[in-house]
Amino acid sequence: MNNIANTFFRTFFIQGAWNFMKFQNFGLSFCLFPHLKRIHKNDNDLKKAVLRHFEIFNTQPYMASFVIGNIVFMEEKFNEFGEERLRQIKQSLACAFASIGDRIFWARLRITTFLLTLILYFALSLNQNSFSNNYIIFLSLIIPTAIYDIFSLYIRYYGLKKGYTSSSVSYCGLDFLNWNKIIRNLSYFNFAIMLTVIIMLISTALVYRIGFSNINNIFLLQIIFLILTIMMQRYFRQKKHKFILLIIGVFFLSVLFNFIMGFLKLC
Amino acid sequence: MIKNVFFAILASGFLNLESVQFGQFLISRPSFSGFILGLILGFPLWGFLGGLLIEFSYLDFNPIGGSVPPNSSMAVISMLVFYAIFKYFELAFLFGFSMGFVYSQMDKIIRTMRNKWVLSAQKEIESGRYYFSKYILKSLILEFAIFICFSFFITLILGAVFPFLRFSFPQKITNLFFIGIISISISSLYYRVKNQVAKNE
Repeated sequence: MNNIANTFFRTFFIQGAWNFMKFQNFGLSFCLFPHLKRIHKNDNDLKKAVLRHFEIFNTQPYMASFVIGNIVFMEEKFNEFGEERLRQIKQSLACAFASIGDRIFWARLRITTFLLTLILYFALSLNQNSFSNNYIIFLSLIIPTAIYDIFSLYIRYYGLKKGYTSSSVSYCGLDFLNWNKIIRNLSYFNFAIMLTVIIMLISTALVYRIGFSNINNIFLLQIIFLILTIMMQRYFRQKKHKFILLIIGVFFLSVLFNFIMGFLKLC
Repeated sequence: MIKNVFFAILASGFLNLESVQFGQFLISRPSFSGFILGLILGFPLWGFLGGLLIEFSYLDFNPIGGSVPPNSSMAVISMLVFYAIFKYFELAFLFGFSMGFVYSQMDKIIRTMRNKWVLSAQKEIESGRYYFSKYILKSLILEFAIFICFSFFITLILGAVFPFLRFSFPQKITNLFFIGIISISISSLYYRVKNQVAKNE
């Protein structure tokens, strides 16, 4: 693929003018235009090619590189593929890569990054005498973000290359990595660090904030309040009610418990 | 302080662009942006902690398909401006948390506005003119400008009501509500991660 660095940079703008009518069509056209101009010397062919890709397009932004690589290859061999086949392959790949990308990046890696930040901050804070607080925060933010970015940039860059070179093969770059294994391992990893975070939060709350000596009626009511909010969350999720209703529910529960606590204090 | 708020809002506008329009490097995630904006405003620790809580509460919302999740950049800047004015952390978090949802409606309007550009760009392509970079730039400027205006508007409103508001009465309620939000966020995230493992089995 010619000028891969330029296309790689342009993929950062894939959602630049996201709209409800055709989603990422502006971003896709922006990425493809230099290639289309190079491939189609005739003005009429170029116009047709640009319009062909100015249609509905929506995929996961990091995984868009795979689709773009494939499209560039198919445009170069346009006579072999033909318009209809090119369109079908493009849409199928956009859906397939969106599904993989959503599950890896949005549903798992984003959570991993957050949980790692929390754990790192907690771990580094234990050694607060050695570092300043701002330095601890900076380290706990930059390390997980850098890991996430290195992986996403790797996918974006090699996705372009792999999409382009494997387009003639039936897999079209879908076999670049063992996606299922990555998804499975990330799920286990997230679950393990989620448990660590829960234990960490409970122990911190008990030791530093509440204190074992303060176990009284108010403390017990606070525990009941927490259990009720968790039950509410489960109920609202199962019934698929809107999130905002859950928030309103928790607010009214807070008002109710505040009254009960006030009453108990008076007694 | 006013100068710091001004610069924080400007920085927040750029971070907001990073979250969708350009890059998605996760620099705009609430804990990171909270820390950066907190540094500008003079309370990096609160910025970071508030950002962590916002991030925790919003992790359940994914930008999948055509869905528009709550705007975390707006949530963070609103929370920090509120905190800078009132110095009341729990209520600042709840305010920021709500503003993220409010601004997501504005996000929808902006995205709908861009629908018109599709038709005009199509006409341009048919006449042999290709201005994709112009539309992308226009989109970035529009997004930045609306975000900045909205943030300044919130700051002005908060500044205007500041002398009249006293939070002594709702403080206990908001403290409990704050704990409740964190509790449902932990519960939601735990079950989500657990379900992901169960699907693997």
